[in-house]
Amino acid sequence: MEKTIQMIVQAQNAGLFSSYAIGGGIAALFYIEPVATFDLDIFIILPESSSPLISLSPIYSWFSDRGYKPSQEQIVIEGIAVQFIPVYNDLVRDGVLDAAEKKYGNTPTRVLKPEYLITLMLQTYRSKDKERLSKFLQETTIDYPLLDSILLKYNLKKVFETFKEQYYGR
Amino acid sequence: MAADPERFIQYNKNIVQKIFRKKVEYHLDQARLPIEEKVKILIELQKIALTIRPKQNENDKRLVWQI
Repeated sequence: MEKTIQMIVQAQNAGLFSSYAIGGGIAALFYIEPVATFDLDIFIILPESSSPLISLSPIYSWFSDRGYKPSQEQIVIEGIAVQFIPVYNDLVRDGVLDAAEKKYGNTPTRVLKPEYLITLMLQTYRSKDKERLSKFLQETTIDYPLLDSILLKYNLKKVFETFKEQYYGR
Repeated sequence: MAADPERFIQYNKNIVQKIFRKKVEYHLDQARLPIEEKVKILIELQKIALTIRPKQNENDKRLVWQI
């Protein structure tokens, strides 16, 4: 995974995206116990463009030129299936900009903070999100003032309260 | 001499509480592992997931990490 992260950083340095953060199940892995997942989701902020259409072609071409062939929506980079996901709303954008600096081996990387992951789970709110949410609440340290401010900003405080009531009866 | 039912219930309750406490501790220990160790576990979980539910077609892009 270290080599994969190094390639992603190289892609960023090449100007393919201005910022990135690991999201999804692998971001969760940094904070909670391991749960089976297959994709390494990389949320990216694309450079400013005059076109309203988002294109990942430059990213796919760049990796393809280096021997990492895209297959459907993913690219296998150093043995790991990677999905590049342009930030699709303000919450994800905020999460990427405010990502936690972490290390994998000796390689620095950026990972969505648990408070943003929790808010994203409340936003999508699938059954797997609810399951993962309860693990976050039990297994990791949460900055509650930060979480509160994000929940307020994205109007998800009530969803969070409902979740806690359903799962913990309070 | 007949067993004291209250004592019997309390005894079982203590065992169950101990099991649940250990279970919580186990999950917390797993969560506190270094990320590199968690990835090793993740790869084993990926192998298990593919054994339980093998790929059905070419569109299934699940791939055990080769690292």
